[in-house]
Amino acid sequence: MLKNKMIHVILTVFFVGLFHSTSFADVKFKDNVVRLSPNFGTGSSTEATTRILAPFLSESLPGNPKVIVEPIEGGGGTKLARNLLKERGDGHRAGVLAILHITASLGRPMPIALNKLKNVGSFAFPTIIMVRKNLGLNDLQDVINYKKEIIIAASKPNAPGVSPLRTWLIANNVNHRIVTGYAGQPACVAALQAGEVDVTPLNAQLFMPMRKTYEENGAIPLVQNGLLNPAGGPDLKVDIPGKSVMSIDESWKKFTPGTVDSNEYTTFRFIQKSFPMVMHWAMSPDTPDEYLQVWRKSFLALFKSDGFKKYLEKTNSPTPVVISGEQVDETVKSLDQAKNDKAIQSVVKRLKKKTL
Amino acid sequence: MEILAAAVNGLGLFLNLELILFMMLGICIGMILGLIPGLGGLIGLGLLLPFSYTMDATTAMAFLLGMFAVVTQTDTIPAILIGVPGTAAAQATVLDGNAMTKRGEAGRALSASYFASIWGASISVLIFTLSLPVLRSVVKLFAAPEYFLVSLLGLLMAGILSSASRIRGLSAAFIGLMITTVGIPERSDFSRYDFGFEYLFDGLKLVPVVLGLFAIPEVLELLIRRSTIVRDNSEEVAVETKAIRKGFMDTIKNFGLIVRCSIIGTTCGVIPGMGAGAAEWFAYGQAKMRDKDNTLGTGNVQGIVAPESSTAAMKPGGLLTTIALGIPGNPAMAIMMVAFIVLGIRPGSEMITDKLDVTYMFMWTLVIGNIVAALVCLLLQKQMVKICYLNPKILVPVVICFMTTGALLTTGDYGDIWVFLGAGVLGYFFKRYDWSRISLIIGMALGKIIEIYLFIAMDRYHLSFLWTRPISIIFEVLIVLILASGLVKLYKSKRKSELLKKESKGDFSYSNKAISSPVWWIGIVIGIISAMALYVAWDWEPDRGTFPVFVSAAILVLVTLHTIQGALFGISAVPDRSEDGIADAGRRKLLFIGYIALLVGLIAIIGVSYAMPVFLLLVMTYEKVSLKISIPLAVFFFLFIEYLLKTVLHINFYL
Repeated sequence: MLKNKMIHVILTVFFVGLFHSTSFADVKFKDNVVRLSPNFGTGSSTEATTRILAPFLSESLPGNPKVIVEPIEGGGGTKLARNLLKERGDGHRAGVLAILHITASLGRPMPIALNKLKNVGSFAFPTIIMVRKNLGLNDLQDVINYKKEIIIAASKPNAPGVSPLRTWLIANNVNHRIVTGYAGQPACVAALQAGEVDVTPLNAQLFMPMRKTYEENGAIPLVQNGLLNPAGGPDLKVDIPGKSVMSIDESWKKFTPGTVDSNEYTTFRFIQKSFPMVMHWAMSPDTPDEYLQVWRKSFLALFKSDGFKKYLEKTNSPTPVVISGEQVDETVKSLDQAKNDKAIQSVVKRLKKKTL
Repeated sequence: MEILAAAVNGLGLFLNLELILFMMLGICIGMILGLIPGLGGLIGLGLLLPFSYTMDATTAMAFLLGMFAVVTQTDTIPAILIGVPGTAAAQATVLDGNAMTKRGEAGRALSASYFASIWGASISVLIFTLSLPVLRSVVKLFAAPEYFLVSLLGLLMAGILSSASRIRGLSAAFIGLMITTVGIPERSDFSRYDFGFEYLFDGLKLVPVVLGLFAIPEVLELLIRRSTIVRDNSEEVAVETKAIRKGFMDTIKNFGLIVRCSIIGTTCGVIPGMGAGAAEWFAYGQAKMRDKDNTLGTGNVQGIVAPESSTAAMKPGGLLTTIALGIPGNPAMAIMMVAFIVLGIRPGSEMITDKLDVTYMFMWTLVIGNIVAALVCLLLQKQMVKICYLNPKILVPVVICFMTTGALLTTGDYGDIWVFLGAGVLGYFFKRYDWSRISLIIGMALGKIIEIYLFIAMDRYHLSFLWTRPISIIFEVLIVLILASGLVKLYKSKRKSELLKKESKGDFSYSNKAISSPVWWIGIVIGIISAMALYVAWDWEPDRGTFPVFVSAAILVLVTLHTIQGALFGISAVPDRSEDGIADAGRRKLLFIGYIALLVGLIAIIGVSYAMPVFLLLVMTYEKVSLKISIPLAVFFFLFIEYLLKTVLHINFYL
């Protein structure tokens, strides 16, 4: 009797599933085309990374649709976010909202409800903080001992790439000044190579394949922004062959343990935790659920694909930290909560200033 | 000797059948992209990049560089023939190129532009070769202060040299700067002058402004005059081989100018953030500096060879820093850098030492690509030039469709159309009443660079960069010389205008009563607008407000000087006479506004793909053009937008 009942349940579930649910392969894309829209234009590292990933995404999506990279730039991502919020949302476009959530949590006013978007997933490569070779700075201990003002290049004072280092500099009263306005990380590196600045952040994905080139031109790694491991365990950082480059967290604990209980360290951990949101893929709030699920699965699958692994190997790139759509949902909530955290906000306020 | 051997080996690498075939394919694609206003090398690179992933590295680079090399060659064709500068790299060429076409010298103008491109690319490769041993040291001498000062020099050159009135020229250049203050600046999170329109968050783009500023007045003129583009049939017919030879000889005669402009182009390629637009206008400014007869802008071939050689030279220049230092100087080179990474080519010293032959192979591709494209264009020239003899009843609606599509290709947003039309109105008044459009565009091309590098220089060095950096001091001296020459010319031109007033010769006009001169009133309107802009920006925080406050104050000072000068001494200007003697010019202007309103309305109601063909059919029927002509044209436009732009190039119009 029980056996019959179980068979009945199994058969019911099977047929209901067969006729009423949409399987991964059933999702079809009109004209077999999907669009991936980065929030920065042609020539930016966001757009470049999106272009690199497009063919691997195509392989991961059902029907292998053509992935068109179509930047929607403007307002540092505000325009793309607005477009996503108001578009019909048929599951054919995902936006790449690079660093938008992080900058918002670092005090940038955001006139849009980012938390309404449907999250596909996010990923990030650690950031390498580069320093001018002839300054003789090899780690953060050297920075403490450095007598002169440290000059940092960035696009904005509270840019996410440079903010983790600045929380440490502020906590330890290291004399520094930030020169802003550079259009992207390659421009910052050019300024470093020209001797205009002392320190600048650079995405590890760009740094690793170009490491020798940069070193030849006088730019070497000083420290790196490690990423909180979503699976727990030690922080994730880039393994640079032949050179031990500590993460800021490791350096902080090793060289300046006295400031680990400061508001600056709390803020640093908060930024570190939100850092996987650097390359945040999101869709319109109206996106049909079956499409969202397909995008989420394909997003995770693309990073595991053989093609992507071969690409990382060929270009000597580090493996990125990838978080699922569900993990992004959680991170977004924690970012929203942090906006009301007085300890964090007091440091965020200082990060917006250009000098110590 | 080693360098020479690498250059020869590079040529050897290039001589590979598969590589040449892919380069030819790239060239074909690049030529088509260049011909279509609004498209360009960037779109092409983005489009072709994924196809290159699976190719062998050198073949892939030949494919991409072949395409990239020729876009700026074919983009001169619509600029010269119909006055529509499709890409940033053809904006300066349109002025003299189209004027030559009107004189029946389209063939000569086109031929000069092709040969100037070939020379530009070749000279740039030579510069590359010569600079190899000192490249790194030279590049490191340039930083934010030098970028700022070189851009300021370009702006002042344009402002002072491009107009009959130095004050109006400088005012226009600062208006161009002012336009670039719209949107969110690099250093701030807050937008400027966006009036709540999110389209303006990212500022005003160069392409719709240039199309409006230059192309709309040209089309309006065509409609008013109701004549073919070529007005003077007594000139040699452009399709003859004589015209091709003449164009070639023009480049030989102006070889010194080409060399100077190639150096400018190569330098612009090396400087981060300098676009093709800036390279073009810098070169144009250089030609203008030596234009003693003041004929540049009226169909002087120097106005073609200067910008064309400069933009062609920019590519090897840009490639140079990308390859040697891993620093992409512009967006196109940033895509190239992605290609390098994906294809496993590591930029750096290896590329200019051990793998110099590979680098030379890239350079050969740029030069040979230009030569092949020039040959193809010269073969097709006879057919292309026929456009100039088309009946304006057919040409005007077609060009309106092309211009609007070109503007829309910027972001695909309605904002593109409004910016294009707004710039058209400004262009009409500026052209008619002798306010320099060239200065305005140079200001716009350089505005962002000037603002960014000025503030970086101030943040980093405070004012000490003015006296501590040798290269900066050289640029400062040049700036002082330019300003001094401006003052001298101001004095001379005052005397000249008095002389011309007495003799009543030529186009020079002089109005004793400023109050009756629209030229004077335009200055007052600009003054009022800049005062409002100053008032709005006054309370903004420094990162957001300092630059617009400074620029609007400068405009206010300049137009106040213009107003006082006009009131005291009268107004001198070189007016536009194209509407003179045409009885119903006013009615035709209204007709033009009606056409534009019809097209905009149709786009709003039925979308771009259908609006263009319906517009063509309606207007051509009204103009009594045979259906045998209008229907194929309407079908062509539908296919062009629906299949080429939307399906093949995947361009989205958000309308």
